[in-house]
Amino acid sequence: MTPDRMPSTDGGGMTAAAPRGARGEAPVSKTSHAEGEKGPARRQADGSMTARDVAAPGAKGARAAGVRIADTPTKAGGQRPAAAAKAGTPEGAAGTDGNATGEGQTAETLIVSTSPHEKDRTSVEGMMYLVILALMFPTVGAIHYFGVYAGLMIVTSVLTCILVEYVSKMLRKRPFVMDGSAVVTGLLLALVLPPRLPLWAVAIGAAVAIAIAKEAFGGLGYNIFNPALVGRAFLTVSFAGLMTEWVLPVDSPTSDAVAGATPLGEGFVREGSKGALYWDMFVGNTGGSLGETSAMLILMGGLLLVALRVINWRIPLFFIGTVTALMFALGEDVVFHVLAGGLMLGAFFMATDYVTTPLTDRGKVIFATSAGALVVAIRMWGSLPEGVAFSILIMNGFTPLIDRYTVPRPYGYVRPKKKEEVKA
Amino acid sequence: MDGGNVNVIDHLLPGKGVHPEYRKEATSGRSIERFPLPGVVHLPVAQNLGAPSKLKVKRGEEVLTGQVIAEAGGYVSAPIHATVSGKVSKITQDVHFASGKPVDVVLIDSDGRDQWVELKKASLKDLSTDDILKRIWDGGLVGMGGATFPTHVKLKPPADKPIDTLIVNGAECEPWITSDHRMMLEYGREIVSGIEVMRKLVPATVIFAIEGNKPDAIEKMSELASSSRAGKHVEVVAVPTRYPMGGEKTLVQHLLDREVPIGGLPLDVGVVVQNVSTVKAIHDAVIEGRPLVERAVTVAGMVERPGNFMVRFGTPARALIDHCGGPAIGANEVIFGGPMMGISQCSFDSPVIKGTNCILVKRNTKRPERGCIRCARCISHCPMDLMPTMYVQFAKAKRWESCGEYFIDDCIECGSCSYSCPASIPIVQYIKLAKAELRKVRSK
Repeated sequence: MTPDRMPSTDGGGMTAAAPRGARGEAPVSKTSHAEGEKGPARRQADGSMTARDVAAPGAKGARAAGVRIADTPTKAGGQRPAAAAKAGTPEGAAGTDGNATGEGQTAETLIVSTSPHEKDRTSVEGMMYLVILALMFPTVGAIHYFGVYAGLMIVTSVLTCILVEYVSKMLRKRPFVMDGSAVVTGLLLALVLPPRLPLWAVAIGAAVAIAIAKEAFGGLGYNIFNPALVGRAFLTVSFAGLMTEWVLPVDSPTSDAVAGATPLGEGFVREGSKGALYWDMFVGNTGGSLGETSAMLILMGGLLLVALRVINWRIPLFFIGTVTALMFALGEDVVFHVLAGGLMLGAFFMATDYVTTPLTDRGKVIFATSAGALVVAIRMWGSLPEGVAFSILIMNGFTPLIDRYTVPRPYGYVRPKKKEEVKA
Repeated sequence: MDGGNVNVIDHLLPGKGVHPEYRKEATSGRSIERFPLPGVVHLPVAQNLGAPSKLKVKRGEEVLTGQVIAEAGGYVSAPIHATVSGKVSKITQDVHFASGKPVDVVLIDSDGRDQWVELKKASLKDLSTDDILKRIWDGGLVGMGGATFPTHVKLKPPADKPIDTLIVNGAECEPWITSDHRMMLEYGREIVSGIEVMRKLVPATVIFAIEGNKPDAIEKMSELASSSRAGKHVEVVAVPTRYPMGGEKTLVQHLLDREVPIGGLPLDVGVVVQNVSTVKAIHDAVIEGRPLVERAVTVAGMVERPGNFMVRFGTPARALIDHCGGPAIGANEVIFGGPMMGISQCSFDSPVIKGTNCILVKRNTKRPERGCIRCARCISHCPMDLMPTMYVQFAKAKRWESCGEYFIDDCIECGSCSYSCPASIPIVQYIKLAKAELRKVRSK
């Protein structure tokens, strides 16, 4: 969203003498004292305040108007930044005039802002960069197993995402912020594509992911469906042939690839022991999407994010746990199904996407369990060999509903009526 | 004894709330210095939660220190006393530092002699419970942790609500502030005496809660409590160093595993919570007969010589900040209270009042607000188990009633949500707005 106002140096940058009310229609002396005591406030707002007030004229005005809270809230209720400043309490808005207290000055005018006045070090960028860092494990694995071309696909996808986001923001007349979310989408999309997909198709997928799945919904924070998965789903239905051309891992980064089925695909044959197959699937030495083959590398990145509390451990645990339990109940090869396809990447990196998954812990458990069940259903009885992408997309659609019904019981909540009536 | 270790363990413990940088070491070693009497005091006539006080003096009147200048405006209210002797030079109207509403302010020019009204000392055993309550009320006592709820109300629980636990709150979980910490170290005896007074009103078990980052205070209070008459009823407990542990509701939950009902008070679950400075003031008012005219204030942040001071109410912040070496270059925000819940002042001249435990000078470092990415950190850190991000969403859509459905009334505005928000959304600001708007909607 729009960072309309920068609080620090140009902080409360509004003129206290004529502040706007929350709705941008009434001056503060009206709105902020709507609760009755208009007299003195209005008198003061006229500027007839005593000399006791701060030397600077601006601060005097602000104090006189009896208003505080200078910074931020953008859309709280105002059409313009200054108007929005009211947000918070009946106290109303306004900081100090200009507030041009720079680094080298001692303040005579003060910034007035709402508590808390401190913040931890987290930022949107910081969290995105940690996800990118974690994704480097499967990214490096993709290049290792599928050669230089895999790297080209990843670069194409990421660059397209950034470019399309930039253009979308320009078209929507919104500021473009390099927050790293486009990079995450680009990486994730590339990692779920087959290893020899033409670069133009990669670019189309990336453009769809950003332009349609993300920006058309309002950008970061507003999209309903996971952009990378939408990109992949779009490519799957548009270029079904290209999207099912699988190759085996290459001998060296530049050697030619040999076609071959993925473990979940039809006609997958493999000689040797089951143990050897499991091992290959664990380290990633099988056919499959770029970054999906190596459970080991995904686990390394995923557990890093769990440890740093960037992602919630409940989602991968319940997602993979549900698949394990149901496959076991169905008498299937549990280890195979956990390691195969996009389950690992989906559970750690797709189903943990903040924007498109439920907010509460309970909601996350419901989401992950349902998605796991859907994966099993699609794999066992669906017409597709793999269902992680669609199961997550389907559950994305249920996210608002899950959020609605998983509001946590707050501290001190007392169940109203009924029970007491029964007792009485 | 090592505060650092306590912090590490607290970080690993599961739990709500946040771990801001405490920075108490700047002032925790500074004993409470008596601050010189100011030339003029500015006394707002509303210094407590509940009804504002009623003005009783006229311009030009001579007053003595401790003389009532405004009477309690109701039962849930407290009188206000002159904090210096001298002449009422002016009665004006100004903006209340917290509510932003206009309030009468009495200006008293000090004669510099600090002549007190006659103080009536008393011995606890000679006082009936009604006498004690009267002395507390007359002393103008309010909760000094910041909420300023009149003390006598808390200590006279309704008959149908038996109290089994008295919690003395020495947690002091806000960063920077050390005034309560110093009070415990320097006025331990008075605090213990105050506990004895309270036990006469509310004969309950006393839990003295102190955050683990104040081992010296824990030791000192354990020692004093055990050697006192109330000793066997008092248990000093180290609580985890985790903000907002010092909040009434969080403390009750942590110590007793009880939850104060939404919209209720601790006495609904048989508990009375009093801040340590209030307990000391109870001793002063009941035993010494001395009304509340001063308090310990931490001055910290961007000043050269931070410290703790015993300050008469009505002393302008500017006097204290100047005394500490003035605001450092670049400072542009003055906060009354701590950085998590403190209220930023629009003037250096805002006076210290009953709830002012700290004056924090800092530079505003707030980052621009970004869009919510639904990371749910606000939810996982909320000590009240609320969904703060929903209030932002509803406030933007002006859906005030929806905020009510999501239990906004339960919010204690501790700021853990805004503190941990990666998008720097001023969630508390939206919550305050929504609460105010919701009140309007409901009153219709």
